[in-house]
Amino acid sequence: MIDEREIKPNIPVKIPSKDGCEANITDVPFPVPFPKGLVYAPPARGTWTIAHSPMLIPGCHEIYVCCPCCLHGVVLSADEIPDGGNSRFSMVTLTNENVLKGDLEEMMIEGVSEVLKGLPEMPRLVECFTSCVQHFLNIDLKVVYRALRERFPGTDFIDGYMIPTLARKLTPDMLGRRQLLRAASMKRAGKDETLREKRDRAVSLIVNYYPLDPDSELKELFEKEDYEVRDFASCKTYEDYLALADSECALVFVSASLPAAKDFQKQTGMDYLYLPYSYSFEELRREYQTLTDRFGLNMPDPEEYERRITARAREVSELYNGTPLVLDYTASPRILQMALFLLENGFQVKAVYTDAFSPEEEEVYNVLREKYPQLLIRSTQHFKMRLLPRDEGKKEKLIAVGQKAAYFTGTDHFVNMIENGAVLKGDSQPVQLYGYSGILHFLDLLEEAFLRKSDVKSVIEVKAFGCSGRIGGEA
Amino acid sequence: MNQSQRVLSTYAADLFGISSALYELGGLIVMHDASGCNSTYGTHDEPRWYDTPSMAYISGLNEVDTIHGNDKRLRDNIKEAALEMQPAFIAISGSPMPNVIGSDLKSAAALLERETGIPCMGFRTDGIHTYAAGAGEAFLEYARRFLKPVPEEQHGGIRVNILGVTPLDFSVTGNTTAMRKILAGAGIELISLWAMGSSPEELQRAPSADLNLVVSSAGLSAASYMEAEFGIPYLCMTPVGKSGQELWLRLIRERAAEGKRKEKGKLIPSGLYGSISCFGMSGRTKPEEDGKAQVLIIGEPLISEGIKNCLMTEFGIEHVRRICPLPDLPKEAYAGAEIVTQEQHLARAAASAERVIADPIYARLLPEEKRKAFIRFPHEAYSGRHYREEIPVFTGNSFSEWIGEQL
Repeated sequence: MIDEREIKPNIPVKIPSKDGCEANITDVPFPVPFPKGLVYAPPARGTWTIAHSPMLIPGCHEIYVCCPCCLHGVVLSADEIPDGGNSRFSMVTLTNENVLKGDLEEMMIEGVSEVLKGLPEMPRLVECFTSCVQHFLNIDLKVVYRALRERFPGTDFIDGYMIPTLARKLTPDMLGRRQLLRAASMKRAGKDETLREKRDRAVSLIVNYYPLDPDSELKELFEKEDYEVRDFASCKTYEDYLALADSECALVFVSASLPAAKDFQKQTGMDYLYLPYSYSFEELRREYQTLTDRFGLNMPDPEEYERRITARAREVSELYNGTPLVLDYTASPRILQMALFLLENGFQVKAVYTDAFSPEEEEVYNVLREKYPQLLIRSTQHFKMRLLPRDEGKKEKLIAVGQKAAYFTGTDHFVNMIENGAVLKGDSQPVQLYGYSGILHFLDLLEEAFLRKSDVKSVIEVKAFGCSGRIGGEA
Repeated sequence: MNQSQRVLSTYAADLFGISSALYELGGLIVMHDASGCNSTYGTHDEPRWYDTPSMAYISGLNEVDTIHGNDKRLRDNIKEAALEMQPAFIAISGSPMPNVIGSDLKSAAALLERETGIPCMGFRTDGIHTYAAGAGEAFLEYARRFLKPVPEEQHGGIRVNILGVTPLDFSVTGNTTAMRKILAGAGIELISLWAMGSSPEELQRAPSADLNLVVSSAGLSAASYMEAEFGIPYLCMTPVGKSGQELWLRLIRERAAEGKRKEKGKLIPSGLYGSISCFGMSGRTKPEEDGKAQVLIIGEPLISEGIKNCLMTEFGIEHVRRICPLPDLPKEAYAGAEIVTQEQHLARAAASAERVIADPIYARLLPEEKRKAFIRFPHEAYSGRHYREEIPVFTGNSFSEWIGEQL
C-alpha cells in the first residue's frame, strides 16, 4: 500500500478567482481573448508534435541536434510511439563546448554522419532538426546539408526546425508542416523540364495528420472522375510520398498547412485549393462549387445533405435534452463555427476553451457575440487554470468535445477529437472528418459520447492521438 | 565525434530537477523558456502533474525578448501571478536560450524579491546539465533560504531527515513509503523528507534532526550545508534490499550516537555551476577493463551503490561494475562509479558484462540475443513515464525478492 503522501501530496496553493481566464464572449477581444502571462500546459497530450509528424513519411529517420533538455522531450515522445517509433529516431547532443567553440556545423555534420553510418540500413529520408541555440548563433545550414548530401548521395535530407523561441514568422506547427514536404518538392524540382511539365490526374491532400475518411463524399467525387486521391497521411511507401509532388493540384484543409502549400507551389509549380473543415452549410456549398469549377466534378446534392444533417442534429440534440457541451480549440481549427452549428441546432454549448481565435473566424465570433452572448470563453494556458477546480463535469452531466475541455471539466463523457480527426465506430485509427459526411460522423460521435463514459485520463495522456511507428507502412 | 546517440535517451535536464525538487513546497516555479520545457517536464518527468496542482509554469520566452535581452516581461508576468497567488517563494530557472544570451536570473530574482516581498531564488541552469545537479542546487538553495537554527531540546530516540528525494529518482511507486516504514518500524522519527510528502513546515523543522540521510546525489549539497550550518552529520546511502535496510539502520544508530558536529564542515557544491559541459569530451573518467563484470549497473550512483551492496552481500556476486552517466554530480557522490556518457563506451561496457541492470532504453545497446541477460530497472529521469509501471520498490527488503527473481 503506497502512502497517500507519495501519490497525492497535499500542496499548499490558493484557489484563484476566474478573472482574466474566463469571460462571456461579449467581454473578450478578438483574436486574443486573454492577456498572455506565465503559461500552463495541461496534461492533454493528443495533439501531434514535430517528433510525431515525420513518422507519416515512410522510411524517414529523424535526427535531433539539440541541447539535452530539448532532446529529452522529443526522444521520449518518440520512445512512446508504438510499433517501432524509437527505431526511427536518433540524436546528437549540443553542449556548452560547442556553443563556446562555435563548431556548430562540424559537430552536426560529424554527429549526423556517425548516426547514419551506425544504422542497420541507410534510410531513404533523414529529417534533421536544429534548435533555437544554433539558429541564434547563426549556424550555416547550407554548409551542413551540402556536406551531408555529398556524403550520403542515396539519402534525401530535410532541414527540420525545433525553434519555438524564434517563431516570429511561422508558428512551430506551420514550419513543421512546411518542411515535411521539402523532400518531395526538391525531387520534383530536380527533374528535367519534360518530366516537370507532366502531371498526374491526381490531387494531393497536404499536410494533414489523419487520412481522409474513406466514406467522404469528397473522395467519391474525385474517384468518379478518375482522379487519384493522394493523401499525405496515408502514404505506404516513400514513392507514394514523392508522388505527392506530381499531382495536378493540392488540397489543404487546415490553415496551419497553408505555408506548406505555398512553399509546395513555389518549389513545384503545383496549384492548391484551401478547403477548410467547415460546419457552415454556406461555406461547404462554396467549397464544393470551387472544386466543381476547378475539376469538372459533379456537385453533390447539398440540399439532401443539409436535410440529413439537420434531421440527425435534431435527433441527437433531443437525446441531449439541454445537457451542456464544452468545446476546445484542439478538436477543430473551426471551433467557433462548430459552436455556432451546435447552438443553431438545439444544443447547449456552455463554453469554448481557447487562447486565440483563428483570424478566419472573426465573422462567426461576431455572430456568436450577438446571438449567444452568454457563451463562455475560457483560457487553457492562463496561470490560474492550473489551480481552478476541475470538477464541473462531476457536479452535472456535461459532454466535452476535445481533450482539454475534458481535462478542465473533469467529465467522463467526451468526444476524442483532434484537428477534426476522430476514430469512427468500428475502426481503430482516426480519420479526418471533412465535408457533409464529416458533420454526420461528428453527430454520431456526440451521440456516442452522451451514451458512454470514457477513461479520460488514460486516453488524453497519450501523446499524438493515432500516431504509430509504422503508420507510413514501413517501420 | 562522441555526441551522437543512435538508440539512447538523455537524462532530464537541470531545470526539471529544480522543478521536481520544489514541486510540493508551495512556490511559484518558472522555467524561462518558449514552450517545450513545460510540456516535456509535465508529460514525461512529473508524475504528479495530472492530479496534483503545483504552480509550475513556463515564461513563454519569445524572439524579440531574446534578441533584446529583455527580462522585464518575465518579471512583470511573474509579479502578476505572484501577487495574485501569494506563493511561499518564487524560483526561476533558465533553458538553453537564456543561457546563451547570458540572462542573469539571479539578478531578476533579487529584483522580484524587492518588488514583491516574496523570497525569490534564481538559478543559472542551461538545460544542458542534468536533473541531479539541478535538484541538488534547488535543495541547497531552499535550505539556505528557509532553514533557521532551532533551539536545542531534549528528546528520546533519533530524529532524521531524508534528503535527495524526487520522483525523477524514486518515482511514485512506493519507494518513499518504504523508507518511511523502515524508519517508523525502527522507532526513528522522520522530521522531513526532501521533498516528497512533507509540508514546508516539516522541512523547516529539519535543523532539529540528529542526522541527515542522503539517499540520492541530489541531497548531498543540502546535507553538507546543514552540517556546516547546524552541525547535523549525514549518512550517504540508499537502503536497497534486506541487507541495505539492516546496514542503513545500524549506521543511522551509530552516526546519530556520535552527536552533532561542533566544527564547521565543508560545503559540497551541487555541481550545477561546476563545469561548462556536462557531456565531457573524454567520455569516461575512470576506465575499467571491459569484460570483468558479472553484473553491470547503469544509473544514479547512490542507488547503484545500494544495488551493488545488495548483490554482493545477499547473492554472493563478486564483480559488480557501476557506471554513472551523470557527469556533473559532486565528486563525493560517485563513490567509485565510473562516469561514462558516450553511447559507444556504454555499448562496449554493456556487451562485456554478464548481466546488465539499467533502464530499459539501455537494452537497445545490446544485440537481441544478449537482451535476456538484461534486467529492466526503469529510471524516471531517463525514460520518463514510459516504463513507470515496471519500477520496483528498491528501497528496503522487497528489492531482495525482486532482484532474486530477475537474476
